[in-house]
Amino acid sequence: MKQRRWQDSILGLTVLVGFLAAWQLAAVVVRSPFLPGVTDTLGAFADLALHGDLDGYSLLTHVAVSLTRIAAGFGLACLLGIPLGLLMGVYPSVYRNSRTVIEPMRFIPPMAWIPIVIVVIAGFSRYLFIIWLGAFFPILISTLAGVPRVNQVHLDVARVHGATRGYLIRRVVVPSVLPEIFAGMRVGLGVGWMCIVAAEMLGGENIGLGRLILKYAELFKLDYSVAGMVLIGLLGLLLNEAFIQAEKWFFRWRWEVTV
Amino acid sequence: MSGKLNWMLVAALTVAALVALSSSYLFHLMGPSPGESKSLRVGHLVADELHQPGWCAAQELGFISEEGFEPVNSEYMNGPAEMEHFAAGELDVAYVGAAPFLTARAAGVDIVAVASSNTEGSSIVAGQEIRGVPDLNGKRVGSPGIGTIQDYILTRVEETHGVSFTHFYAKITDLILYFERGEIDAYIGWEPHPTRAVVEGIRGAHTLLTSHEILPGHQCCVLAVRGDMVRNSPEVVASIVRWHVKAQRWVLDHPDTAEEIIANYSGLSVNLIRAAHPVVQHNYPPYLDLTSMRIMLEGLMASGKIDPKDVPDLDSFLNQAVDNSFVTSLLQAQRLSPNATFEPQVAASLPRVAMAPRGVVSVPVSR
Amino acid sequence: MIQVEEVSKRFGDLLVLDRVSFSVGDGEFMCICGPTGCGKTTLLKVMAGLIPASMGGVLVDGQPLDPLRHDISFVFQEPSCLPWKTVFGNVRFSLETRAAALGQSSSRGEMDERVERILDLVGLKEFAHYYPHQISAGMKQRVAIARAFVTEPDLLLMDEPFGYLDVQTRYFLGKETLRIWEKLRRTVVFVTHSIEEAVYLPERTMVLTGLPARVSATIPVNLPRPRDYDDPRFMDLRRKITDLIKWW
Repeated sequence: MKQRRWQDSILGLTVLVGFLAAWQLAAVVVRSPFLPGVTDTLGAFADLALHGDLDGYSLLTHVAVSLTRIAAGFGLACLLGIPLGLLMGVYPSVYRNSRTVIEPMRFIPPMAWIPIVIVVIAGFSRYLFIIWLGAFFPILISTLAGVPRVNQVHLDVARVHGATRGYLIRRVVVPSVLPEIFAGMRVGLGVGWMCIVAAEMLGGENIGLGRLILKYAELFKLDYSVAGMVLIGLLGLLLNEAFIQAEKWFFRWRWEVTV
Repeated sequence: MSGKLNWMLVAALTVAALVALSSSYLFHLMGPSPGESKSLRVGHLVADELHQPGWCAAQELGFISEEGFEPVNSEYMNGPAEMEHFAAGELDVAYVGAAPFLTARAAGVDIVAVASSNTEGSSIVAGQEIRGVPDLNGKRVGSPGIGTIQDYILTRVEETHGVSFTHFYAKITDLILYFERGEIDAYIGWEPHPTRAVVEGIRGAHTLLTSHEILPGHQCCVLAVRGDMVRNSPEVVASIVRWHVKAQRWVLDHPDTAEEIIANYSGLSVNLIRAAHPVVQHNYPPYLDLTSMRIMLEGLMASGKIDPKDVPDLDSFLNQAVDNSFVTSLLQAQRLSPNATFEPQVAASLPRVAMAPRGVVSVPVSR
Repeated sequence: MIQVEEVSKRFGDLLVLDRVSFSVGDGEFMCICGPTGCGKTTLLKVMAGLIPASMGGVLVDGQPLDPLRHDISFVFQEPSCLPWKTVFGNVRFSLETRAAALGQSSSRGEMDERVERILDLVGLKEFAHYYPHQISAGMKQRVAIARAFVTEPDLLLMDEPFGYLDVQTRYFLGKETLRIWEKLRRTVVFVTHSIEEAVYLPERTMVLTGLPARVSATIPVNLPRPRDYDDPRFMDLRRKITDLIKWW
């Protein structure tokens, strides 16, 4: 078992190294100032980390600001999405009647809202709204889709002993649906992460990782932009992994965890 | 065995993808050669017709089609964005600010400036609580982008007046919104957007500084073309410069009609254009001002926007980036004095709206 | 004393139970058997209050059956352990639900004691902190049985609880169930399709007809315990019941 994991790690590492080599090769072959190679990107990243960006903001500030925006929007999405999803799952008529409004809205990409959001909302709330939009629907849908999948037997076990509806929801439905809620949260976090970058790129505060990428692209310093991209990707990966670990711990009672 | 097949498939697909990617990029760089087709891809900035009247006037009056071109127009949010697309080979001609032009050139874009579109023409407008430049200290000032000439001007103000403030970047048409909501205390932009806040009386806005007061006579927007066109098809460039010079001349001779054309194309009201017009200079003959461009270049390098390694020698860099000879040859060929006028051969029929009116504009008519 | 009076159940056009009547004494162990798909599970669920009868009703000590007022437990055929709870947590769950339903705040310590005792009785003490996915199918059913007994119910219903288990486990669990019943003396109604079980376990076996189900016969089983599968009297009863059920 352990040997298998070592093999997987080495294989994974090889693929990564191969990709980096191919990237560097492509940059050398094309030899364009607009396609930075691995070394350029690393240099740019080091410069950002050590000296901050042109406006004097440190890399840590950018990361912290973006993460704060994400946390706020995501938190709000969970706060609204989970109870609403449970409500719609337990009372399908609520879901059916609100579908006419929810379904079309679900398919409007958060980025399409940005022009309106710039005008109608102000300041931090803009980011809050955009991220909330992105994260809310996966959470809502996972939650409400999980409710009908609750095992009837588990419900009956409680019903036989005289459980009320509220008890059933609290003590049987919620624990049953929790793995699905978590999965929805993880997807929501991912979507929210992508939305924040787009939202930051489109104007507003000049702090944030998305803004960082755009700033340097404007100045044709694409190695810095790519460094920003890579950082964003890594952070997103870390968040996802953290989530998976949390899921594994929470749901020790499951013998399989979906990825 | 199937595992091995999978690996081969993955490897083959990756290689194919890389090949496709690089070849499409290389093809993209080439673009259509001028002379092969009549169409010419021209870029300009959003709501910047006051700085770039050469573009809209020339279209409106038929100067471009007189030269035998069919312009394909593209609009961009700011100079740096336009330069990004130019670098990707999507444009042949660009009306763009001097700072993004210099930045692009330093980064290795093959672009050459052949005429001036305007000088000065930007203002810093601030709310009524800001009486003078020292009041800007510690405030938030809007700018249309970190790579724009307006941002360079902001930095220059900071240096010359010994103040420091936060730069807040947004789309030019959004700056007034942020200003209205109090998210920024002042902003700089290309006219007429700063004057718009004054005319509409937002937060008691008043013009704090104009570019004339910051760097008199500084080059602002330029007419730039692809470097390979200058080298390989100078006659095409000459035609482009001719339409431009004719248009610049015409604008100077017919300011009222020019303002109407600009209002049409930009979707802003004539009164606003009229109010903002005095801030903008359309220098004639439209030579590019190397002195101010040199100062700008130094400033951009000092603030880290241009890497000094890309510009080992400022003067030779500028001499290669800028080519005033087309303007010179044109005027000589016409054997005209600098004050001669060009009359359009095709009568303009106004109003003709070439583009859908954009933005929210209604300035009370005070005439 | 449980009385089932003229219970009929109809699902749409399909009549499943047709005026089924019988009664079960306190502390009695009764089996119900019959042909496959004759409505045994339906009858049991009506007795548990999980589905309403179309006609007729069930009385517990003269009162109409009410899952809130009366203590009823149910052991399902399919695995019914709550996967997110340990063995201990699962058994405790019925006590907690009962307490919540009655609005009582039973002391934690008292509940824990009762759970420990029942786990000891069913022989799962060492597995108290295991999760259901870590124990065998037979053990899972033992957990369900423990969970059913721990509330000391007025009526304990078991719906083919060993149906999904292998033969050896069935024999073992049958004996275990009897042992627990003998210790705790609750009223048990046990549905089975195994005629062997129908003779081995109960004091009385009720045989149902095929759809629509009616009471065919009630057969007392007066054999001494522990019962012997090879005893001729055992085999007689088996034959008798098989004849009653035989639909093939």
